[in-house]
Formats: sequence, structure tokens, C-alpha cells
Amino acid sequence: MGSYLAERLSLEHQDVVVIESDPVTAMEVQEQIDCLVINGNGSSHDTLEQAGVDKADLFIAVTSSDAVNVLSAHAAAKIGSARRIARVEDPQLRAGAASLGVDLLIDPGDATARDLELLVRERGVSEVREFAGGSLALIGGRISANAPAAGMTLADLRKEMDEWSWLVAAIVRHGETIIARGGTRILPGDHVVSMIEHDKGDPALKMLGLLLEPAKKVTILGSTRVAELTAKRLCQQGLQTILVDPDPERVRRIATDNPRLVAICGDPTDSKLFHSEGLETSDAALALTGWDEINVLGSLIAKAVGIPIAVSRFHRLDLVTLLAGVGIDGAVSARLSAANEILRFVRRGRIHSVVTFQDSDAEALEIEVEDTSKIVGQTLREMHLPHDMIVGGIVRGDRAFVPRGSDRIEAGDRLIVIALPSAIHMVDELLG
Amino acid sequence: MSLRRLLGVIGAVVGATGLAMILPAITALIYQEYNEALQIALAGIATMAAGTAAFTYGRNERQQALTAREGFVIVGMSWLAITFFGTLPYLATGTITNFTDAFFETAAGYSTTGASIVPDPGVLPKGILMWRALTQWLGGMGIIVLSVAILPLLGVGGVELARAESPGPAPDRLTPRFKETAKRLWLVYLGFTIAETLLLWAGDMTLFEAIAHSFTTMSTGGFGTDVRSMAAFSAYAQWVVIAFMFLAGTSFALHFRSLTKPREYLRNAEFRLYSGIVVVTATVAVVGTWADEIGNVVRDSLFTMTSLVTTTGYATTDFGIWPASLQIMVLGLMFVGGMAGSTGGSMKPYRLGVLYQAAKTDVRKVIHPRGVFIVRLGNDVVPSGIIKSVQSFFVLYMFIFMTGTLAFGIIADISGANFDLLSSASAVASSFGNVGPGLAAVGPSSNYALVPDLGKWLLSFLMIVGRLEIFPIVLLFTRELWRR
Repeated sequence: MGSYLAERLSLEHQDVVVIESDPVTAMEVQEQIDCLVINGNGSSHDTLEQAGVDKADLFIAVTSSDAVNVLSAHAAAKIGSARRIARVEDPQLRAGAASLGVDLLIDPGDATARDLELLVRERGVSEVREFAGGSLALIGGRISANAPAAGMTLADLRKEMDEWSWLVAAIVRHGETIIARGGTRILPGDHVVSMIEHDKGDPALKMLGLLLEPAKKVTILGSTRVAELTAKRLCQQGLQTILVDPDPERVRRIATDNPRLVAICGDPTDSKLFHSEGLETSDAALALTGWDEINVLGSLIAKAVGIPIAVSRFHRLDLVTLLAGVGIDGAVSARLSAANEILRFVRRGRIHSVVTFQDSDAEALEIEVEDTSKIVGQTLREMHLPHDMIVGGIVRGDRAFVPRGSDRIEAGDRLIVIALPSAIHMVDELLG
Repeated sequence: MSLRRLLGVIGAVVGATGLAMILPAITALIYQEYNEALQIALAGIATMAAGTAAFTYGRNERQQALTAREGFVIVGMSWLAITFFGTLPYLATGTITNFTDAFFETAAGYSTTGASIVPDPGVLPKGILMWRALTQWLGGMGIIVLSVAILPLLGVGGVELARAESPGPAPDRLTPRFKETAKRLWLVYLGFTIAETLLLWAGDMTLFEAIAHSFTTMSTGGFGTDVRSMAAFSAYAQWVVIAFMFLAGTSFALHFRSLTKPREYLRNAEFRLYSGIVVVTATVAVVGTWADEIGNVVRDSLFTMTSLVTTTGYATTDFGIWPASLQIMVLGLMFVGGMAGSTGGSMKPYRLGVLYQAAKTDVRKVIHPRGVFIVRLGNDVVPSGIIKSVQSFFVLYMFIFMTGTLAFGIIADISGANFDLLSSASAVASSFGNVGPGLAAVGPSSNYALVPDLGKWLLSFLMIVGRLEIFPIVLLFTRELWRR
């Protein structure tokens, strides 16, 4: 997880120092990522000083050990790093960690469970991120072959629209994110991120073929921590939740802890089990076992027996972007979920909020335009934005709307910018 | 298992009950019943002598913690032994001349049933009335020990007590820790008894009546001092008794835990079930017996339902003349009982709750054949071992009730006594559940004097079997127990 974060941050032209205790891993990271790697124990005072923690703006401790993370965050606080993030999974430890100098606690399992909950609640839509108190929303969804918009260019799409209330901001295709232009063509299987004025969202969703019907019955395959946390969240939401796992001991324990959950002891890749337990009438299947292979198989079987939505969890990050859309409707990774949470925390200053996506490295930033900014009074068209960013929404006072090219920027506006990592460092200077 | 060693323990128990006979002897002295005082004292001395002899005989056996099996045998045998010796005061004073009747009365005492062959308790000497009440109070004490030492082995009250005491690593041994637990629970028992005595004494009862009624309320026994049972006393006394019957039907371990945290009561699922049953059935009874003096109707309904659910068996009204539908409810309530760990008898709401939840789980299993469902009562998980033992308890309980009713019917028919089906079934259910009065021929306005001798033996036996939660007595009749 640390290496993924280092990669993301280094792509954004941040100076990154990685502390890794295993020499072989340290070597690998050094080879792959443009950053400084120090081989040593992250909780030792000497190693931290050597890494220059006292000059760091942010210290992130994300080893697999709660204790090491809290200890090194505490040590970093003493040396004097500005802000500290630690990964802590044990809920009992979380309460005390704040007093030990940790500014943000993250739990990858819980972050994934939260993402999955959102995904299940708004079925068909794989992501919903709200802005301006919910009046604008970024909605991610997979385009199916029979969606009206499939095969059209965005320029074609414009002509079909009655009202200017939404726009396609970005398209994720084969693991690559494209910021949408007029000539971009929407293809079946694309993951489309659209900005929508929330109360006028229905025509957009219809065009994109996304139904916004919340799931009522969800099947979870596996009994990992993520599976359990997700099951707990879904049960709390009042959804009928069924968990399938072959390990009788674990199933019994999870059933004991979650009274409302239906726990089934069986092979999650057994198609007969789907039938005999009535799982095929589920609205969504979440494959959350600890093995990528079983998750793929489980998701495919779930789709084959007729469950409309299948989401799989992967350890290997390349699979997340590669396989999402190939038989599987969505993919999650605990590392990505947690990394995204950290990235949201990293951005500060004029940036009001940051939104990240599961299978794309694009980010959405909400930025305030100051009175002195050179873009005040310009139309969007006149701004000549680079190709890897787009203004998807404007919040002006208590009004929020999806802008056209002819809309002028006013002082005090808040722009919602969707940008690729390569453009994020430019956002400041463009708006400054 | 050494018989000699068991005799030693049983001797100690019998000796202690002999010692207890001093109290009725003193009572008799106070009321200037000098003959009775002497006769009861002699009975006490005889009992103590027998107990001491057995105790001395078994004393020299090596001291070692008792096994569960020995515990069961001791409980079963001791209960039979003290019932046998408990007849002595009745026989010695000549208040009951027939041994069968005396045994029935004593069994109804120690088992806290409260069924009686005495037509009018009011004419009995005060010393004997005290002995009747005292047998119930002692029986209640015995049940509290059982709830600590035996019931956990049967999987009832175990969850309850485990949380309060966390017993040692070898749950099948009767460790000294149980002694400490029992002492604490006895303190609660004693405290409630004293409190009730004072409250009743403050009303229209004499001190003697207040003590006698406290003894039989806290033990959920139900022996009274007047032929009209509690109807002989004021509304105030009846309200006090309602409250204390309800407390006696509540787990004493729960009382102890709730001393500092009263919220514990409502957090306990069995308590919620128990109080729910009382409130709902009382409401039904109020509607069913609606009359102009609504205050009396409410009090009588609540009194009757609390008395039946806690298996006390006092009466303020003759529920034998209630409408048939309400009588069926009365019969059904004889199968409920007070909470596990209380002095109440019968099946216990805990078992009924577990049975219901287990059945519900089985129904869910049809929908999800491979599903893993956890049976829980409230928020507490019920371990599968307990579910099984509760289910077999239920089967045994119903089996004994059915065969008991059949046997009672046959006995009654052969002896030419006039007992219809309702009388027979309610007599058996009431004795087995340690309630006391039944319906029809054995209703609250009547007594058990007319039951044929063989029938009295059957009912006495059922009282003891029911009181000891079936297993310890049934165990005495298994061949494997007596094998070396």
C-alpha cells in the first residue's frame, strides 16, 4: 500500500521518501518509483531523522502492523513532522491513537466496506460523489451495450439533450482515464464519470443506461475482514444480506456477531449452492474472499446465474482497472480505498474537497476562485484548459450548475475540476 | 461413587432440617401449645439423631470435590430423605394421622408446591402452621443452591450465572466457589423475606401471619394460614404479596447483579419474557372477568396471574369458576414458571424462549439449507448444547405430564373417585409445575384431601421430580448410575 501511495504522490511531483524495513522490497520500490528509499525500521528515531521527517509536510504510516504505525506516528510527532496519518485496524486502538499525535486514522478494510456500501446502495451506478451539499453529483457508471448513449460521440449526445444539466467528465477505458472532449465516443464497457445536477439527473441516467434502484438483497462471497465489515454495514442499512463462506468456524463467528445476517456455510464458487440457497435473486454479488482467483470465478458465476451486478475485490492493483468491465461490473481494492482516503487528506489550502475514484486515478477537486485570479471574467472556452482537466461544475453562492463553454467565471466561484494526476500540480497556477 | 460418602452428605442435610424444627417448636411454646411444642421438639431430635448417625457413618471417607453425577444423586436422595423426615412433626402432633397425607403435605412443602390435604389451615396449631411455612422456605433455599450447583449442569441458568460468577475451568465439579455464590443469593432471599414480613406486619396481618406468608411467598410455595388463602387479608396485603411473588419469580442472581445497576433487569431477555407473560395474561384476565368494581378485578387478575406464573399458588378469587377459555389459560400458565434461578418451578420462561427461538431457526433452515443460524435469546447466544438439553427437557416434561395424567385418571377411576379430565390434568400439571391449586375438583376453593391414596403418592412424586428439574430423579432410575 505504501508503494502505491508513493507512486501516486510522486506522479504529482511531490517529494516522497519511503521507509521500508525489508531490503529486497526497498530495492524494488527504488527501481520502480521516482522517490528516495531508506532501508530501516520506520518506528526508530534515527531512521526517521535520516529520512528528514522534521522537514516533512506529511508523515504516512501504513505498514500492516497497527502497533508499528501508531508508534512511528508518535515518534514522528516528537521529531516534528507537520501532520501524521496512521493505518489502524483495531477499533480499540483507534480511540487512544489520536492522543498519541495521529491526525488521521485510516482503516483500509473499513474504507473498502464504505465504498462497497455506496456502490450497492445505488445499483448500476458504481460511484456517487456529491458536491455543494448534494446539488451536484459526480456519478460513475458502466455503459452497457444497449444503453442509448453507447456508440455516440459526446457531440452527438449534446444534440439529443433537451436541457444543459449534465456532462460527461471522464471516461475510463482499459484502465486508462480520458478527459472527455466533444469528439470522444462512448463505447460499451466504458466506465463513464458524469457531472449531474442532482434534481435533473434522470434523463442523464436514462441516456447512459444506468438505473438508480437501490439493491434490496445482496450476496457477499467470502469471510474476510472486508467481507465482514461490509456485511455489517449492509445489515445496518436494512438490506437483506447473505454471506457465503466454506469455513464453518468463521461463518459461525460472523453469524454470532451479526444477528440480522444470513450466513451460509458453502463453496462460494458452487453454482448449485447459488440455486439451492436462492442467491440468484440477489440484486448484487460482492466477491470479497482473500483470493483474487476465487473472486473472479465467484463474480462470473454470480453474473451467469442472473445476479445483475457483480463486484470483485482484488489484491493485485493492475487487475482492478483491467478486469472491471470485463464480465465484472466493478472492482475494489482495500489498498486503493485507503490510498484514496489519504489523497483526500493531502490536498489542502484553497481546495475545499477532493474526490477520488476506485478504478481511475483522476481526481475531482473543488477550488475557490479568488478576486485577484486572472481567470475572473473569462469564459471557460477562453481559459484554454489543458487536455487532462475539465471544469465539471460551478458553485456560485447557493446555486450550483453544470457550465457551458460560454459561461463566465466570477470571483468567489467554486470550480469543480476533474483532472488527471499529471495535471494536478498545474491546477494551482492556472487558477492563480 | 461411594454410597457411604453420599450417606454422609445426605445425613448432614437431614440433620439440618431436624435443627430447623426448633423454630416451630418455639412458635408452639409462644402460643402456649405445650404438647405440640414437646412433640415437634421430639420429632426434631429424632431427625437430628438420624442425620448425625448417617453423617458420622460417612464422615471418614476421603474428602474430594463431588462429581456432577454424585451431585445429582445427593440432590435426589436428600430431597426424598428430608421429605420423609419432614412428616414427623405432623405425625407426632397427630394433626395428620395418615402417613400418605403427611408425606403429601411435606412434599408439597419442600417442593414449594403448596397443594394441601388440610381442609382448613385455620384450625391447625400455630407450631404446625409454622412448620408448613418453614418447609417451603427451606425448600426455596434448597432451590437456590440447586440453581447454583445443579441447573448450570442442565444448561439452564448457566448463562445467567456464568456472567455473574464465571465458574472455574472444570464446570462439572462442584467447586467451593458455588458456596460463595449460594451465600450471596441466600442473603438476597433473606433480605426480601424480612422486607416482606415487615411490610405485611405493617398491614392487617399479625407478626405470625406475616412471617408465615413471607416464608411461603419468597419460596413461591403458597401455603396459607387461612382457608380463604390471601382473600382473608386486605387489599394492601394482597398488593404487597403480588410484588413479592413477582420478585421471588425473578432470578436471584439477577437481583444480586441489579442491586447496583437496576437497568440490568430490562437488559435480561428472560426477565422481559417473564414480566411480559404476567402483564399480558393479567390483561386478558381483566377483560375476561370484567365487572363493575374494576379495582378489584385488576387486583384479582394480576394476583392470580402472578401467583400462577411464579408457581406460588395463592388465591384471592376462585379461578375455578372463571369462563372456560380463561381456565384453559390458567392450565397453560402452569407450564410457564418463574425465571431460571428463581424459586419458581415448572418449565421456566428461559426454556420456553429457547424452544421458540430454536424452532424459528429450524424454519429458517428450510429456506437456507446450508445457512448457519445462531439461536439467541435477546442478545445472548444460546450454545447448541443448551438447546439440545432444553429440547430433551421439554420432551421429558410433556411425556411425564401425559403419562402422569393418564396414571392419575386410571387411579381415580379404579378408586371410584370423581375426577374429570380437567381435574386430573390440572392436578398433575399443578403438582408437576409446583403451583399448588388445580382446576375443577382440585380448584382453589377445594383441596387434595379427596384424592385417592395412590393418587397422592403419584402427585407427591411428581412434585419432587418437577422441583428437581426432572433429571436428578430420573437419573436415580437409570442402571448406568449404579454401575461401578
